[in-house]
Formats: sequence, structure tokens, C-alpha cells
Amino acid sequence: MSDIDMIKVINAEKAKKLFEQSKRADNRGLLDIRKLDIKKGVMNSADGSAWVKLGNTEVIAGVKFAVGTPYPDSPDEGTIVVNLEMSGIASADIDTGPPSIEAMEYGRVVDRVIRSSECIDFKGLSIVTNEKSFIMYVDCYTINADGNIIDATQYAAMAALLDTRIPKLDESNNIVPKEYTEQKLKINKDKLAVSFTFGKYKDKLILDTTEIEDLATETRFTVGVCGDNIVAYHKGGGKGTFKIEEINKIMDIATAKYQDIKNKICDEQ
Amino acid sequence: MSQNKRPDGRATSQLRPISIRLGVNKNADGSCFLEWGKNTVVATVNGPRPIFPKHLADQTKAVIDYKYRMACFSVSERKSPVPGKRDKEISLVSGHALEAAVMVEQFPNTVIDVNVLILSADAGTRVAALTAASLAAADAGLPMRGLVSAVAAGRANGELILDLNKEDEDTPDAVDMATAFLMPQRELVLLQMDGCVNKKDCSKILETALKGAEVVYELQKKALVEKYPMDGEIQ
Amino acid sequence: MKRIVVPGELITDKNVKTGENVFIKGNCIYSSVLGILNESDDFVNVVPLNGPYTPIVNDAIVCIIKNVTNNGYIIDINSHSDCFLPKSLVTKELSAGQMLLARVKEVDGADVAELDNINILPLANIIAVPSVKVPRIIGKNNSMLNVLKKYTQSNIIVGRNGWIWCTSKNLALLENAINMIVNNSQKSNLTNTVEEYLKRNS
Repeated sequence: MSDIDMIKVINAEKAKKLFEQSKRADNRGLLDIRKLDIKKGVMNSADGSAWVKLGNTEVIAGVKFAVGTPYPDSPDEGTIVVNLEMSGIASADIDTGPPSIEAMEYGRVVDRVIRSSECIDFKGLSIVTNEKSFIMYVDCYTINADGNIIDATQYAAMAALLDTRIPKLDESNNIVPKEYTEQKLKINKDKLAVSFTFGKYKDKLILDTTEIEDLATETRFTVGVCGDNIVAYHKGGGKGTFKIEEINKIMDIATAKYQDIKNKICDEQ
Repeated sequence: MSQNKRPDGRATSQLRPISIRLGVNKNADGSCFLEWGKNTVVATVNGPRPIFPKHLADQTKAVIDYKYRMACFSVSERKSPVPGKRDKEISLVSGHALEAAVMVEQFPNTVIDVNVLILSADAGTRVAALTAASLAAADAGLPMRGLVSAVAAGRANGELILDLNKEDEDTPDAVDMATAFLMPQRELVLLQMDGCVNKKDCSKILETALKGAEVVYELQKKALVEKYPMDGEIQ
Repeated sequence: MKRIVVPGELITDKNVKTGENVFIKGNCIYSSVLGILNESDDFVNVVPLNGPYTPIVNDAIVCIIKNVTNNGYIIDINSHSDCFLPKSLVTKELSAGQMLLARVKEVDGADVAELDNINILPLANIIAVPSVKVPRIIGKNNSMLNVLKKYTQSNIIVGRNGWIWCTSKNLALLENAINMIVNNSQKSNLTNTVEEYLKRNS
């Protein structure tokens, strides 16, 4: 951690005062999500990619296929690995160097939300049962960090997967570089996973927090939604606590917002 | 909830047997040895003490350095001794959970070291670890708002159940929700879940977990009080 | 009847004066540590059974020099932060490892303590106990301490921070007796039992 930025500390104090009156510095309601802008297929080198802007937070996700051995407990399935790197270009407060523990946490939350949703047909990623299957690496980079990295990364990863083409294989089942089959990665859009991350200050729940608001909130909770179902919970960030009723309220809010965000992720430009 | 028996003979909302021993490690300020079904956990707490390197210090509170580790032999296939992403994530969220209980603001610029080693794993290690760590913190005499009582709940074979073991966890429709409550306030300090469940079941699993946590809390209280018998022979 | 309470346990919902190791939330008083509840009609506090040492003004503590700097000494006082002692406060040049008996002169928040009344102690044994057990080791009117000194032929200085400086003819016996006090501090009639034990073994 670099030095504490006093301007941010002061702004965070202001944000706390505003939360108490159910207001926010950017005039959003406590449960409004910032403007979400998604571009797919932004990079040629990746098998699938997407650039997400969530307010000022920007995340790029790229998918790369590799061939590996399937896990012994799922011999006829491929697998997915989500990685997140929060590099120094995203914010002055992030050190360069090995991935920070926060980046690791965020990456794993996104990984779980997508993996548990069953929107990806992992059986379709098998090549030879017990011997070879595809591993999809979804690598995400924060370009600009302004809060709610988890949701921005999740939307980017999901959008990149929707854009993913399956590479061609040669006779010995190795990937032929730069050549793709006709088919795209099969994704069940009805089961598309979408995450929603809430901050909490005193008894107020705040959706899609900015970086300043992150500093002002006491704790954070992520819920993964797929259709009417919940696919993941994750409480992180700080020593605040939640009541069971609050978790139930979060589930209701998230499922109500689900369709809108899902359409934005699926949208073909 | 039905009282159908599970493969290991337990009812749906029954915990595995839990046994607790406190003060097992004389070198630590506080320690706990916990057996939870086939899970075996040792937890120690040291500190608060000066933090190094200094730039990690927080002027407003003690930093809790929670380290969750699994012994190489704790799982069926040897685990690499290098802590992986999973270990680090569990360490991070469990540390936050413990911070909600310990009055860290009383010890600015210091660190409280919490080390948890899983000796034997059979699903639900993170909740067993956190339960033990909270006991070790209380054993160390740290000021706390309450105890952290952790328990997993979820679904296996279409049934909503408490405290999944490895067998339950490996069923195809398994959902595992790790929860930890600050007791007696009943506030959630850790909540992680993966799997696909509808909203109603989610709420039900949470309620089941709270009931389980209350049982764990009573066991924790009993263990702490029994460490110091008020009468009996002095030796 | 004395009772053991755990952190977060409800003590009372009555409006009474509170001592140490309790916290108030709403109209209720809760314990903040694992300890023995001390309850009377108009007052409650909890005596902890273990815990870190927090310096309090006027405490006499046994401490050790950890490091020497240009203008003073870094001192380990068995607390969560070290202490700084300027060279101007001591007449002699000291070195790391030197034991001191000192008084806590000032405590700055929960953080740093200042010392005065520095006495240099000769090199001897240090027995470390949790600082919360110190009152039991001293006993009422020094009763326990006198028993320990008498039967083990020891010279003992008990620091409020839980460090006990001692020279003894029978160190092993002294250590056993102190362990006995620490492990059974919640029980009554401890002084007599310890005295009998020492009589039998000295």
C-alpha cells in the first residue's frame, strides 16, 4: 500500500454523510448501477474478448484456450479458470508486482459465480474422455479502477465468453493457432450468470460502489444470480456484519435487476 | 425439515460430533484443538504485538494476520505445501470475520497473528478453522464483542441439510454454504456459497445455518467455561 | 458464587456502574473477555483469565532492553508496543539484554508508554506469566509472595506486566509453584494449598 490519499479520505467522509440521507455524490439512488457499456471482440489475439466500462471502472477480459488433462472427478468435462490482474495502471493505490490478495479474492469470486451457474456446457469442452479437454483461461485486467471491480470483471468475463470461438484441433488434438471452427462457445443465455456487489454503511445497502464509496462502506457482499436462482454468495471486505434479513433483501434486489444487466451483456452491437 | 437419515446416520439438521480442547499450545497466547467429525484443526493466536514491516500498520486498529493452511497429508491426494489461491482467499475472508469479533480498535499499530492448520479434512474446514480461531482468541484473553460460530449448510440429494461432509459435498446437486455468525448478536460475518439454488431455498439454508451456529456457540461457551473449573483439586 | 463469562455474554440489563472488561450496547451490559464475573448490587466488572498487558500509569514493571539507539533505548515491556527510554534518564551506559525495574510514567493513548524511576536489575531469571495473574501471585497483603519467598529462599520482584524477576535456591520448585498459581487462579484457598505444596517439597 502506498501512502493514504487524504483527498480520498475526506471524500469518503462526505460519502458517509450522504449515505445517511440515502444520497450519493453522483446523484444516483443507493441501488442504481452506473452506466454499463460493453464492447465484445476488441482484441484479435484472444479467442474471445470484451471491454467493459462500468462508470469509470474499466476491465478488459480475454479468453485463451489450452488443451489439458481433465480433473479425475470430471473426466468428460473441460474447465474454466478466471484470473484477475489489478495492475498499477488502474490506480495509483495499486502496487505493481505479484497479484495482490484482493485481486486474487475478486478473481475467485468471479470464477465461482460463472462456474456454479451452469451456463457453460463443460461437457462440450471435452476432447477425449479421461485424456484431453479444453481449459479456458479468462484473463481479466483492470484498466481503470473506480470501485466495484468484481461486477465489472464478472460482466467482462461473461461477455468475453459469449464472444468466444472454439479453436481448430489438428490430428493429435493440439490447438492450431489462429484457426477457428465454425461454432461459437455454447452458452445457455437463460442461465447466464450475473453478479451484484453491495456495500453496506450502517443499515444502508449500496449497490455498485465507486472507489470513494468503497472506502466509506463497512463491508461488502456479492451475490451471483442466474435466472431465478442464486449461484454464489461472498461476503468480503472489512469487519462489518449482515443480518439474515439483509441477505434476503439483497437477493430480492439482485433478482429484480438481473434481466436488465443480462440483456446488456448479451446485446450484440 | 424432514428427519431422514443421511449416509452417516445423521438427521438432516444434525451436526457432526465436535470436540474442543483449549490451551493446547503453551507457546501461544491462546490455542485450540478442534475435532469436527473427521476434520482436525489446530489454531493458535499470538499478540497483539508490534507489526513489521512498519508500513503494514494501521493507526486505527490492530491488523489480524489470519493464516489458513492445510497439511500436505490432510486430503486424499497430497496437497502441495505452497499456499494456493484458495488458502489465501479463505485466510482473507476469515480474517475479516474475526475482525468483526475482536475489538481491534483497542490495539492500534499492532498485529494479531492467527494461525490455523488443517490436519485432516472432510469438508467444512474453513468453518471448523474459524470456530477454532475464535476460541483461540478468547483463550488468549483478547477483548471481543462475541464469539464467531461458523457452520456450513447446504443441499445434497435434493435435501436441505446442515454441516455437509465430503460425501454430501460430492453429490451432483450439492450446494455448500459456509457461514459464520457473530454470536450472540446473530450477525453474519462470513458467507460464501456456490451452487445453484432458488431464493426460497437460500433463505431456508441460511436459517438452518443459524440454528447450527447456535449449537456450535453453546459448545464453544461450554468449552471455554470448562477450561477453568471453579472447584476441584488444585495441582 | 463466582461465575465464568465468555466474550459477548449478557451480564445484566440493569443500570449499574461498570468496571473493566465489559461493554454496553443498548440497555444491556456484556462481557468483553473470558473471565470471572464480579457482580454486586450497583457495580459489575470482569476479571480476565488471560490476556495481553496494557500499561497503566504507576505500574511497576520488569522490562528488558531490546536495542540501543544513538539517543536512547528500545525497551520490551511485554506489551503490544515497545517503549523508548532516552539516555538522559539513566546515569549509566546500558546494553541490550539489561533488565530494568521501572515505573510507567505516562501512557499515550493505547499506544506508547513512558517510563521513569529506572532501577537496573542484576542479570537473573525471568518467569513470564499472563499479567492478569499478577494479583494472585502477590496475594492479599503480599501473602502469596511471602510464602513463595520463604519456602524457595528466593528474591522475587513481580512486574505488573507479568514478568517476574527472581533469584532462587530452588528455582524448579519456584517455577512449579508459580505454574500452580497461574493454572488455578480462579479457585479459592490457593495460598494455603500452595504453602502446603511448598512445605512438602522444600
